[in-house]
Amino acid sequence: MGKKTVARHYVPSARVQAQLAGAPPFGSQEFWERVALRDREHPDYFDAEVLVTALRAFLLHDDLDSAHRICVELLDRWKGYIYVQAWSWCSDSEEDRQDMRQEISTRLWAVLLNPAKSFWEANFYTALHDLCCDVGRKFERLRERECPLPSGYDEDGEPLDELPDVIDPQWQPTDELMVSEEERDRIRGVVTALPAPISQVLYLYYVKGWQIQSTDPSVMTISKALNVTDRTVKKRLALGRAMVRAKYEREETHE
Amino acid sequence: MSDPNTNREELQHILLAYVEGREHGIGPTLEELIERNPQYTQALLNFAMHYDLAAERAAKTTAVPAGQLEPDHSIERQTLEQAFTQLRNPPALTSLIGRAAQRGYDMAFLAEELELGTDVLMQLERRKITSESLPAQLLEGLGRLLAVSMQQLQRFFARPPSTGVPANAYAFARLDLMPGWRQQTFAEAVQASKMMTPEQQAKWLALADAPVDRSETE
Repeated sequence: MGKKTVARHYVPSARVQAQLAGAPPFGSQEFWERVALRDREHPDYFDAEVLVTALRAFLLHDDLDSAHRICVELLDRWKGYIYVQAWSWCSDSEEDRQDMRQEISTRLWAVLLNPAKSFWEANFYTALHDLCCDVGRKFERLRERECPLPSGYDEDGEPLDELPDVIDPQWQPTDELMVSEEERDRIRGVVTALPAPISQVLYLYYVKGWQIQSTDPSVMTISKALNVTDRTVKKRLALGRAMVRAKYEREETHE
Repeated sequence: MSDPNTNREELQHILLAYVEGREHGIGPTLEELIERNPQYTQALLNFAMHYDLAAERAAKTTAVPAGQLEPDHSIERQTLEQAFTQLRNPPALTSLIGRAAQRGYDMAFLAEELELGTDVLMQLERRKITSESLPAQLLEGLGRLLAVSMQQLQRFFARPPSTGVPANAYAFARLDLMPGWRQQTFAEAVQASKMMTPEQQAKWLALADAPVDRSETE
């Protein structure tokens, strides 16, 4: 007892206060129309802080359907941010990213549905940013404990991201770079599981349709983006296709 | 040495620009972002690859407008539904002070936050004050601090008054059954408080003239 940890009342910015002062009654048709606006420059746009204030008012009056609607709207606005945060803290493991998104969202709903956390009504972005960093640091600590191998290295300790540039002048691509639609789908299916230097060229060439090189210096090409020669790009493409084919055949044999 | 946190935040802003471009069909393309931020080429490419392919997978199961592909966000939706399932079945509020203790506050602090005396708070805890006389501001303050809804509070105050002793201690333990006993109004309790400042009393007495409008919530 005696832990005085109650959140103080934080004062929202003048912009949010003005939006609140000019807001129609929470729950009215006009209110929902304004909630749905996504253009931040629109004069009727509501910042997230206004939505959180409305959420707390709905909760206080047991209007859970409206509260739920506000949460869905907040998620729709901020899901990209959560995705990016999970990515930037756990860029090399999809499983960790999913765990992190789950933890962020679980904590997010807990604090948003808690009217005592008034900071979320004053500065939503900072509150969400801090929450994501808190979860990210926790995952970082867990990973440091679990995995002594630095990220970016394979099981043999070889760096995954540092394939040498091709220096063999005699090397030529052994077959056509064009592939069938079926093979393109296969590439899409397994490309993220391949080492980064290979997956990047496969993605840029077969998914994004970038050119390997161009005579026009203003065009972004694969070799320019990755700062390697066009020969290297071609070799990685050929190697990547061989890896995709081998992986696919291995999976087919197992089935 | 560069600060990894600064780099992370810078990268996050760049990745967000990509996501916004993909979600809303406007914003910089991958080419433009790489051109402007060559130091983040590897990170940008890896992110874009995972994001785009996850978006393509999600688009196969849900109809999304062309140019607005985005990955599946069912993880966040699931946790939202779980949170609301719990919210739709809240436990009954049995004690204001007990609930405050669960949230890490003691009685004195709760009274201080509400600008009430602990003697009035004790009377609220034992429901010795008529629920009809409670000002809306008081219920809202309690709801915010204790993270409970108005309905939970109203159910709490609608229950019979409590003596604070076990119900089986005396046959006359229920105050409302004792001869001559009656509940006070909130204004009476505030006026009689020996633990509130005159300013606090004046504030609450002014508010007590405008009791909560229950027609909206019932």
